[in-house]
Amino acid sequence: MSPRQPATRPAGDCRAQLDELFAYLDAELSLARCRVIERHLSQCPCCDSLAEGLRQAIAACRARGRQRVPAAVRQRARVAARTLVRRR
Amino acid sequence: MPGAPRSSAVTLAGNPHLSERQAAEVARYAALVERAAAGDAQALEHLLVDAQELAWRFSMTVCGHPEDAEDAMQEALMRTYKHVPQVRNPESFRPWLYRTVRNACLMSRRRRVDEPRHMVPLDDLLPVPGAQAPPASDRRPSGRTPEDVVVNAGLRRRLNAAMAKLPAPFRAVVFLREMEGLSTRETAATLGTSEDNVKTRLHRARLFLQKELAVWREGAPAPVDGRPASRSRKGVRR
Repeated sequence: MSPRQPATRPAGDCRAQLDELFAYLDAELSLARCRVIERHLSQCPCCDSLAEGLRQAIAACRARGRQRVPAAVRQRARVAARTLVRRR
Repeated sequence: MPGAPRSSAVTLAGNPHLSERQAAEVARYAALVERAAAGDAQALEHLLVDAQELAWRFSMTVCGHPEDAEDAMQEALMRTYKHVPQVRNPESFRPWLYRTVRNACLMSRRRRVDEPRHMVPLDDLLPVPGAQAPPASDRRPSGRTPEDVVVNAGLRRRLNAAMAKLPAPFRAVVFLREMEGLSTRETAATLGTSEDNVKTRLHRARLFLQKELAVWREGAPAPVDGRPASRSRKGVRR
């Protein structure tokens, strides 16, 4: 990183690779591009840490999955659907 | 494993952009719609319950008001009931349902008093170069992959609280892509925006969520009720 850059900004190279990093995490990169990103991650603790945090955030969202609908709400939905269907 | 080429993006429902799970959902809905359109009352009832539950999940995640969720459920119920007999292409039902639910939710939604209007600037979401990264043992516990993450109660509360700090358009993208499992293309169609816009919002939202979850892992107390512990606007630029 250039010494003129503010300390609070990520290095230009890392920032330029953000889109690639997301594509990598979404498994949308070719094997060749994966290797390039993996090489960068192995050499850049800052990006490696970010990638790990992103993996965990994505995994947490996916593991949360679909929010469970409360039993009372589900029951009301069933009653409303049944009532409508029987009215046909 | 994230990072591996996506070999599972097969063309199960004639759409190369769908994963197996997404294609299975499309096929499940298509079968239900065909049966319902042919007069199967049980299939129609199933679709009507699904539509209402989706409306509830969307509304509660994106809007957060139980009253709005009830209104959205009613709207989704009636629109689905009227639409099903007219469906010509059963595979088009699922995207239609998501669009309808999204419209029903946005029609009835009331903005939260503390709801952020703007996303945190990108620079505030990126790590500081040269900052000391956690030890490798902390970052990559041996034998665990991100898929193994168990969403315990604390993490779920923190995730819900972090989601609540996102502006609604970003929340909608996370909800559709990560929680409902829609593809980028389906999400863009549902929200009436471009795929590039969906990707941009998703990336920014992920950066925000990873930052919030990292703060929590570093020792901040988890919120009590799925909302931020403080209703302050700290961290969100207006």
